[in-house]
Amino acid sequence: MSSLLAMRGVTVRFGGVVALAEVDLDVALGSITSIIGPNGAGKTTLLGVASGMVQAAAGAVSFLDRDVSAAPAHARGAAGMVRTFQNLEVFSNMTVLENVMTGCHRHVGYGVVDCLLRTGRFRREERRCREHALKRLDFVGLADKAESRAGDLPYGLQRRMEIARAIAADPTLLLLDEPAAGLNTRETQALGELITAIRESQGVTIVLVEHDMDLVMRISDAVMVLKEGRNLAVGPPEAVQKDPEVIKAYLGEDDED
Amino acid sequence: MDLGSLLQYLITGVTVGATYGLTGLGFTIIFNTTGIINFAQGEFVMLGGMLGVAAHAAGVPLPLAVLLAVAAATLAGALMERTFIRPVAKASAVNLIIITIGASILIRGVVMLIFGKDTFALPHFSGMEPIRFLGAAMLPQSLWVLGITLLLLLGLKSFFSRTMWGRGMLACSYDPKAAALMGINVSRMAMASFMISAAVGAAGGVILAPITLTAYDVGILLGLKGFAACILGGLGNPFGAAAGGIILGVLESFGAGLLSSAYKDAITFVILLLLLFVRPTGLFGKGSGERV
Amino acid sequence: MAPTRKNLLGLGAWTLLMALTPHLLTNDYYVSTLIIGFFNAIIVVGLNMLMGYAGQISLGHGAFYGLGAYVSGILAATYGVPVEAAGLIAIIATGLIAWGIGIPTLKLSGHYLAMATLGFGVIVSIVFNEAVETTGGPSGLTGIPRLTLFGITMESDLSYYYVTGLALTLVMALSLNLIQSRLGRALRALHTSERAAEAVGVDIARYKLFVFVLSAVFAALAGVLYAHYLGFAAPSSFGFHFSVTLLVMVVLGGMASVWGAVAGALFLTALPEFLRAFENIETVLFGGILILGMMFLPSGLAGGTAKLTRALLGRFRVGARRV
Ligand SMILES: Nc1ncnc2c1ncn2[C@@H]1O[C@H](COP(=O)(O)OP(=O)(O)OP(=O)(O)O)[C@@H](O)[C@H]1O
Ligand SMILES: [Mg+2]
Repeated sequence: MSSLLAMRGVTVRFGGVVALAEVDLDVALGSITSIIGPNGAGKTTLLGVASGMVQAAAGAVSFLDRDVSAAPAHARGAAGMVRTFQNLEVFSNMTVLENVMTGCHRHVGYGVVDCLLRTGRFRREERRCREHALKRLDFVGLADKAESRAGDLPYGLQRRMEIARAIAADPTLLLLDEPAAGLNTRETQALGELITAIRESQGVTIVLVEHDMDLVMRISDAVMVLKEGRNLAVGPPEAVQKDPEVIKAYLGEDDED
Repeated sequence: MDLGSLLQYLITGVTVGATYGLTGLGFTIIFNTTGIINFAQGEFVMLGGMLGVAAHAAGVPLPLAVLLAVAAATLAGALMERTFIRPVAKASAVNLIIITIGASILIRGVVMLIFGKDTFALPHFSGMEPIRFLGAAMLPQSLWVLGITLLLLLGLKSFFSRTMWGRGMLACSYDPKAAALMGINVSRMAMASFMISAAVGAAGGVILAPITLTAYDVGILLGLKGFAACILGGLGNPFGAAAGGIILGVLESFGAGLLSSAYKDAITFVILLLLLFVRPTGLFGKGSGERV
Repeated sequence: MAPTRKNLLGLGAWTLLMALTPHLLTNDYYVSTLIIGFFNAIIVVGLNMLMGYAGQISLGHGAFYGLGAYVSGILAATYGVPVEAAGLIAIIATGLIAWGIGIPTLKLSGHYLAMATLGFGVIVSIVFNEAVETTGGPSGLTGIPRLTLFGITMESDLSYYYVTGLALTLVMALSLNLIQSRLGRALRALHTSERAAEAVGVDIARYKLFVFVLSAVFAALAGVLYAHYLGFAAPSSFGFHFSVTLLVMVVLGGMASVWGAVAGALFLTALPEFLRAFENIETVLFGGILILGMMFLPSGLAGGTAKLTRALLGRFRVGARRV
């Protein structure tokens, strides 16, 4: 099995804090790979390094068998690696539809001149982009909110919209950072189904950072456990669940709680 | 080029640079406490000079006129914070920039309405008989400028490190939420920062007014140069700003003397741009600039 | 598409109004005021794309206006280059300068960006003042020939009015097209979240540079039209004061509205004419507009009116439902 995303020896420091120390990650094509770990373990940072938004002190990232360690964030996005954010990053002054149409950015094929002059190509491409975005909105169940201002949506729907924006890019790899944060049990259940559906119907490979263990164990093919910036365990969910180190780490966390 | 004229350039540069430094210091104090860059900082400097002139013209003895000018500018600083800044404390950086630009235009406009567009001079504090040494001449006013600048710097240093207020203001800059939790009144600190920087700026303006003259519109360039000074010294570092001001003043004075007096003002801005492009953290700063 | 139709209708109505206005005016003087207002509107529409849509502040756009005016003016007056060619060269040259200065400048944000653009504006202004042999220095460049297009010289104010009005309409149409496109969405997106824009593949540095250069090109176009209208260019017209006036126009018109930008520019150009009696009050007034606008109407006149209408309608609807 070839890895779609491979990270090797990734180390990140913030001032004195070592957020990641020599972390490796392999994401198999077509899989749902989850990253779990206590708060501050470095999960978001790892996604940041993958997507090019956090500078690594050492290590390499390869995507689609190409070394992208030096590629800027937008180039990785344009190459099909798209992420969402733990703290929502919604384009609040645009409509929901426009948010999702922005997600289509990498697919819309016209230049400045087409757009300044509104050529036939512009109109064709724009109509295609709009229809595509509406389809994605429908997919996440937000079709009726297309014309609302994104900033006015309730929190849970903003999360869904962010997912719609990400999959509007037709990504090869989708990185989701705690998509269930702030959702209630029912919403989380629905989110699980949505994530599986994204994989099934669009063949998108998914990396999921999540605290909700039920969700993770239910839908993941592989789970990676991070603790204090180190790779604690990796493997299929059942194996990871039984790993004594992991149990200790999580029980340890429970004790503190 | 003889030693005398080099020394002369140095004296002129340091004197003018002291005012740039005080202006930069004003920027820093407000920025440190509130995170705002006050585009009206130069107007406080202008207010110092103009109000000093006005008070003196009205018959107030010179020392009292100077104090009065600084006090009135301080009040203007308080008023500005209270009426324009506090109600929109959570506005975006761009909106706050526009509001402080608006305040600067407003202050300039009011001063123009009252005093007109003429250029005014304040009498020298202790005569105009130059002190001559090593082929250079130094106005006694230069000594006043340097002395008062030094006193202000020392005073502020002990204010920020010794007094409760000073420490409270520093705490606001590190973490306003934590400061509020510790019982520090953040908005009162913000007001204090506007008052102190208005006072410092006005002091710089009124002590320089006898040498460089003053008018309603001198605040624009002085403000920009003060900002250049605090970028040079590293934004957020008050004494860096003061040092930056003096460096700028000296560079400008030598540039005007040795290269071209026509492009004297351009020198500062070319330095400012180069610094922003290459090293936005300043000469003495470290870490990353605000490039998020 | 609905928004497109609305734009077309709006532009149609605008063109009609623009074409008829000179015939309704009783005084030729008003025509020349409107021409100046159109110059300003051309700049402000561009600046509004930069500030209102992409969220990048510039306090140096007076410099681009001046570069357009001076480059074209000097080429035509001193070197006898035909006006059309001089204007074109001036616009391209200004675009190139904006591109060169934009690359390092747009890496900055917030106060740093404001100060860097301001510093650039001041430097250009100093050059206009001090390069006396080329620019004529503080007293200005004189003898700039009138605009000629396809061999026809726009001698009368009325012909100049239509040329400028047409240029403005074109600039508005291009801007409206741009906003509702992939580029416009990218600009608005990076305004709110640069990271999220990058995440979907938007090259933010490129788009910022694009809109910066575009707005500079618009300003240069206005500058060219200005120089060949007045026949004269002086540094004081393009300095810091003018850059701030542009900012006031953007704010008054409401950030992020092409129509608002035009309204703000025309209104503030005409205002001083009405304030002749109180000559010096303009400065105070501009300061007041900036402050009050940002404090109470951050979305400007256009946005404020829309918000008020929505609020009233909303209350009406709620009231209706309760009944
Ligand atoms: N920009 C930053 N500057 C300084 N330190 C940071 C920064 N981002 C993260 N850190 C630190 O790096 C460590 C890892 O943070 P990270 O956000 O990756 O954790 P996480 O696993 O995503 O946690 P959570 O479950 O709370 O989201 C933490 O100690 C955090 O404080
Ligand atoms: Mg996280």
